[in-house]
Amino acid sequence: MKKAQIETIGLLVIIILLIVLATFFVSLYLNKGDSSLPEARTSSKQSNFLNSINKINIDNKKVSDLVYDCYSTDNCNLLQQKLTEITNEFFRTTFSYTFKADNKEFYSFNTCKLGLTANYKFIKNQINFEIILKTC
Amino acid sequence: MTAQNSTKAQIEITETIVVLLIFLILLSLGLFYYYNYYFSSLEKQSLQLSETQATTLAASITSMPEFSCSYEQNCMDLSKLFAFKSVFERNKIYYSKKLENKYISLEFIYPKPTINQECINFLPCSFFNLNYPKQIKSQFTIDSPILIYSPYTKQYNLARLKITSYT
Repeated sequence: MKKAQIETIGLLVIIILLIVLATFFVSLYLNKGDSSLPEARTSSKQSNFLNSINKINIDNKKVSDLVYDCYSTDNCNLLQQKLTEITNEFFRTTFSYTFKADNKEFYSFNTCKLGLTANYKFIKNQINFEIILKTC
Repeated sequence: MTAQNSTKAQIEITETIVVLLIFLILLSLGLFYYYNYYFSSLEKQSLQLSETQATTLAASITSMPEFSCSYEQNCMDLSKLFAFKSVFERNKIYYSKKLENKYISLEFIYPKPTINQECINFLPCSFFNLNYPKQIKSQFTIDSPILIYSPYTKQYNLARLKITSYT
């Protein structure tokens, strides 16, 4: 084999190696996993949680009654205490609640700046209420 | 002249051997890292798949006629849950396929149960074990809030549905 032929083969080998390496890094780049699943799960958990707590009885009252009491009498202690107790059972992170009546915030507790949000809307005595839960 | 040629040839052979050695070392290093990455990505994919399956199961289990409430979504009927134990025992193969290799339990959260006992035979209790496979290695647990409707008291309880995946 002549020297020129040997060098051509060497060059070919280098090119093949480069192609293999490029393919490997491209596949590495493309195979980055989808990280949206945990967020989707938390979001679904929040919605399920809000829907569920609005069906249960807390001291013979529904959550909607407690929210209405908080709005009309400014007595929000029971609402805050019970919601904190139940929410702590399901979410290990910090959370915050905001309550709105006809789109105006009338009560909130805890602070959570960045996080996922879920809401639950209901009408009581012709007032549109909204409960917003945010988990950090 | 002959001695000089022989020395030159020896040097070239040594050079070829060194180049080959370096090439082989680089190739084996490359292969080692590639397979390391390949197996870790396979493990990651298996975990992701298992996680997706558990999430899907958590979302769909409440709509199974064996548990579902008549009028409410994301809800399980307490009387059906009590009856499920015997249904499960009679159809073990079917349910082990349907509920897969996952440990599924329900834990009452609110109102807080007064007794810490598994629910059997309509006695006061705090949790249900719906499926308990022979676990080999625990992967992860997902939990979801769920309603339990009691037709006896006609009230809803808040419970935690826990699904643990195993490999």
